[in-house]
Amino acid sequence: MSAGFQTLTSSLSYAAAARLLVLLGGVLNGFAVRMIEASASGGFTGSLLGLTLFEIATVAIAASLIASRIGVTTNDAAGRPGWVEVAAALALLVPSSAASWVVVALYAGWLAMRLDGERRAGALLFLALALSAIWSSIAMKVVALPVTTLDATLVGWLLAFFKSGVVQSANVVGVPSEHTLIVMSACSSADGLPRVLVGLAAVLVLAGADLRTRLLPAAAALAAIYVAANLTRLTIMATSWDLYAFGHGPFGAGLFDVVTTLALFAVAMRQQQQ
Amino acid sequence: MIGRPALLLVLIGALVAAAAAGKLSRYATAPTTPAAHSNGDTALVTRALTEAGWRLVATETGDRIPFPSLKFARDNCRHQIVIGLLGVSTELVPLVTMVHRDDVAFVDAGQLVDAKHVTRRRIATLRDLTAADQITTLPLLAIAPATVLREPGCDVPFRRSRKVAGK
Repeated sequence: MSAGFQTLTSSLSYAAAARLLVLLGGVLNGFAVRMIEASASGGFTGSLLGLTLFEIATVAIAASLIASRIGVTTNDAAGRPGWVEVAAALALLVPSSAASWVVVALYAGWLAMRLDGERRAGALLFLALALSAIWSSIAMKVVALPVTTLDATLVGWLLAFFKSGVVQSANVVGVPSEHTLIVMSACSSADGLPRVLVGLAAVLVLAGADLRTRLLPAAAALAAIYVAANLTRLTIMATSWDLYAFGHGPFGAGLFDVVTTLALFAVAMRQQQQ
Repeated sequence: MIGRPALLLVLIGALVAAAAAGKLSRYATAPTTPAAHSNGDTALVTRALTEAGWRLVATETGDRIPFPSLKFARDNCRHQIVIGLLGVSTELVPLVTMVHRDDVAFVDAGQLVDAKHVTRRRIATLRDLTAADQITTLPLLAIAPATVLREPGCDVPFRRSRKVAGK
């Protein structure tokens, strides 16, 4: 055996190493499209391979929890990878990133039922990450129209405070003679919110918060801030073509990410202090 | 000597690596530029419409519509169909609605819908259409006089429920 392999298996049980391989490999397969696209586009997005800070943090925290030896029994520490891991790895060969997320969700759910303590929390974080990806890539399609229409309606109300002649029709909103905005599903609050909430859960787990009592109020507060920030951004983009370019461009996107990241940590710290 | 657990671990690692390499290779070799997308989409649209009796009469980049468009005609049909290939530039969708406000039809997930339905249906974007596997895509946008859809004998091949092409 190579030195690296021996190091890996001495610090991790075979079972834990197999779990990490399947989960991290599944995540890599799930993110493959975004990584390729982002690396082609370059810039800051490209440097993060198209992943958000929330997603990177969630994967890192979840993986460290899965690898945790705290509370691991002797029998489990000596555990072996089973055919479930082999089957999951085989399923990752399906040439679809969406299918990979389904594999991650099923495997993480299965692990969450079998593990406990920190490793269960890690499995649940992987499950939540996969479900948020499935929501964006599959489920959102089904409800895209009502969801984007709701966003456009709210933007229309906000826009009407300082512009006259605002017309909103389904997911299109604006002043027809000046500028209109089509709210795409990827721009809707419902698309990005689950990813942010998963990031919040990961940070709370890392901070040792009791999720049973802390997650719900923290999630509600962060959701309110996120929706308000996103509606503000959409309203700016619906105001004029120049402001659309500002809000939708790299600066606007970066500013939005900074605001949501600060909000996440502020909410998490507030929950810690209470 | 490597025991069974270690062998299983190696097997799992190999499978995961093969899966990732396959996806990265597939997506890396797919068309990623708007021009490459447009070329592929042009072929798809032309084939679908030609099979339905329409013929390509012009390929142009309009001055009002800043992306490639294909114009199709059909014998005994007064109207022509213009298919705009939006490629990856979803930014252009607002421009399209502005210049074709009351006379526009959209390809939604590979289906042409008439103007009456535009406000009741989701307007497709590259991301909507293909989600996680978004690089292999379909033509994104069709612009046509909405009346063409109601002209007897002038059906378009991908109206409403029929897809232009599958992935």
